[in-house]
Amino acid sequence: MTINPGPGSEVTDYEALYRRIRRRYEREREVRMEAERIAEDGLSQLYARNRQQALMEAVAAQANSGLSVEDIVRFAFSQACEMGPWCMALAWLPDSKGSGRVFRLASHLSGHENAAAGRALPTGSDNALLPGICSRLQIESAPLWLVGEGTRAGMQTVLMVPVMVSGRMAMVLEFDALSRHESDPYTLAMFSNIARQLSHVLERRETADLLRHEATHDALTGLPNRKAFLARLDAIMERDRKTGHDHAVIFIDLDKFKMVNDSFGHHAGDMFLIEIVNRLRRVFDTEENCFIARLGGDEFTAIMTGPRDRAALEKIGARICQELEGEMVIDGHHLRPSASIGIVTSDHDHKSSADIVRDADLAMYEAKRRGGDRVILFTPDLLARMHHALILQGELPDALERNEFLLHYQPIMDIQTGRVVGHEALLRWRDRRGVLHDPAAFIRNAEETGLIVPIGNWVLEQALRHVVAFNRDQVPGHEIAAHVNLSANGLRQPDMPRQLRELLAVTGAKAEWIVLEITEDVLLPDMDASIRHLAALRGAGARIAINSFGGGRSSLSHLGIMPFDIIKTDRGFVKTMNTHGHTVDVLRLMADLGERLDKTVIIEGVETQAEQEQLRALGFRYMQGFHIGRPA
Amino acid sequence: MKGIVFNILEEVVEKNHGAEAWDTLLEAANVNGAYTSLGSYPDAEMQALVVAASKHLGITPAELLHSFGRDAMPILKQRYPELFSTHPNSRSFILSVNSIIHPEVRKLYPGAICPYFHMKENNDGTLDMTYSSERHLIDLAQGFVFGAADVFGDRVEVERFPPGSGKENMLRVKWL
Repeated sequence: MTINPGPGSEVTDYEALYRRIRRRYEREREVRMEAERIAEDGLSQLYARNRQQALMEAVAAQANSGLSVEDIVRFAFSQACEMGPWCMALAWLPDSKGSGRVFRLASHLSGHENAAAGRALPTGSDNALLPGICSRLQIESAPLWLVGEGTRAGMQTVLMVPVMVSGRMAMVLEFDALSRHESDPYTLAMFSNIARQLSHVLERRETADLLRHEATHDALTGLPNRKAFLARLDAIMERDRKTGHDHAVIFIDLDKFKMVNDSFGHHAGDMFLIEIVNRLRRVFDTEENCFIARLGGDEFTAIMTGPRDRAALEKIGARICQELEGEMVIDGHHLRPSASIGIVTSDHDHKSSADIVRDADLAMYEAKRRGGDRVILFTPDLLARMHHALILQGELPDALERNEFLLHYQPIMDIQTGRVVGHEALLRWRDRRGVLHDPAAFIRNAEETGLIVPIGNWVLEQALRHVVAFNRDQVPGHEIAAHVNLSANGLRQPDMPRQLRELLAVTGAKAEWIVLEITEDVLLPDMDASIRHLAALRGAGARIAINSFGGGRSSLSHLGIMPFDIIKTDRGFVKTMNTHGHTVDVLRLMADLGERLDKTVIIEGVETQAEQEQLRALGFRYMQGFHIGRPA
Repeated sequence: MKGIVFNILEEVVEKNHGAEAWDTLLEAANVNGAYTSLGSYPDAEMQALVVAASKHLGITPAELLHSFGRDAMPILKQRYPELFSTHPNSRSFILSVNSIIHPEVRKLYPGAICPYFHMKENNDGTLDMTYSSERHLIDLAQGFVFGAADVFGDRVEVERFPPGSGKENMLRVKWL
């Protein structure tokens, strides 16, 4: 069989030839169109891939540019919608507290003018993310491509892309198309890539937020910390300087917090502070325009903005005291907190936040000095007084080295014989300006800083040297004693008895020339240990005098168990001898007590001849006071 | 101009005037005639074809472009059904030309130059489409509008404005 037609038919059948050529043409045309279609598809896909690649790169560039998450999302949306087929894009933020609610972060509508698509966009209650889809995304952690009606009204294709941060769904990107489009791996890969970029941005932002929060907040109570407080205060001061508005700073320092920590442990201390903050919040939550912070330790501060007069501020202070004082039970311990509160207003021309905080602190310190559990409003004279005290505090550590301490002596007299039997050594500090200070001005600071120990040792040594001089020309039996006050720290020094012996040897003083005076308050915290210490000192030869007996927290029961030699009565007895009916009876008892216990009784605070006579008549022999002799 | 436009014209001519008419037209216009959809060809060849066809049919080039546009639309619908299926009517379809249709065209035919229409919907329901392109093929656009109406089963009137009126590039479309 041959396909070629014979030579004869070629000439005769033009019709057939035409039809065959026509068919060949049709075939060729179909082939061309098929080839074109294949090429068109390839080109179109290549074009789409290039666009997707460009979009991913652009989003990556934006993600690394430091733009906000919102801006990056908006950028990705506008690009993706332009590329099609998406006509709407939405970004959802699931509630981080796990309530299941979502919030819309951003939305984008593709920019067709008044297009029917635009009118078909969802509004109202439809405008939310279905919870079912939300939980599916969270579980699968992968994009969802949904085709057909039902997910979003009017939309035929919906693509949901979860943005995962450390296994948690931090965001959902939604893309909607009006027409049906089947899932396409390239598009899915592109959106997954964009989601990864956003995930990195979110992670970085969350880390930055966390660091910022940690840097500005107190981890225990969650309150803003010192840094945040000062920054806010600076901003408020700056603003109020321009506007002339008022503000006030409240400084709250808990009383005896250290005791809670030391006695019950740091866990109890932490629980205590958390409860304190709850109580403070109860007060400040009802106040407008206030900012409360934990400055550190047991110090809290609050800024109150807006007009408030002194009375209003004092009232707030009183409310804080009242709110705090309720009993709390921490680890089984019943505690009754209180605080020292200082308040300063903005009308003292403060130059900086440090100034205003210092003044609030001073007012607080004054509240503490007056016994705590009270509110003090700052006044300029407080500053002057504190200023002085602060200067002294600064100079105190070097005072010993600069030899600025000296001892004054107040005589103790035997009224029967008219002879001086002893001198009480009284510490004085002559500062570099030549001002002479009583211990009241510096002793508390010396105790707080521990300087009291070297100072006490110096006093003892000086007194021993002096007592040698006192007795140089005394005939035996008429020797004069030096009375030295012993601080709590001095008493508790374990090698005090040894030191005393050494000093006695060095100075050549006799042990019986030394009387160590001690107040009962010093003994109280640990009576057993105090008794041991006193016995040891007595063992070294010194005599022990109980100072200010009958005042403060004196207890008759102590007399039975304490090793001592001398009772020095509280000066309050003499003062009230002629005004309070029973004081004389009490003094009479005191004389009797000395006699029965075989202890020497020294009456302190004798200021007039009449008092001296009266006391002598009551049977007292040893006296001290301005009438007997002033300290010199 | 993209070869696809020549291909569509060929289809229209063949459909209306038979297979031979396209060859006749190519010869009359003195053009090459080998057009693939993805290729790009000189605009002058399209102009020559339009002039030759109008001369042959005894109508103006504008009239020829009207009928070309109108007849092209069913062919376009056959080739690209997804561009039509999402629209309920010709108005919605026409309104999507800048944002959907032309971007899709650019995707299929990289390098294609598409015109831009400034759309203004008037209170009386008419739509003003202001044409802007270097090719000055507003008459083809008018034909496409009629063709779109036909495809969706709508009826439209298109109002034109004289040269120098400032609206010579505007089509005012009224749905009946």
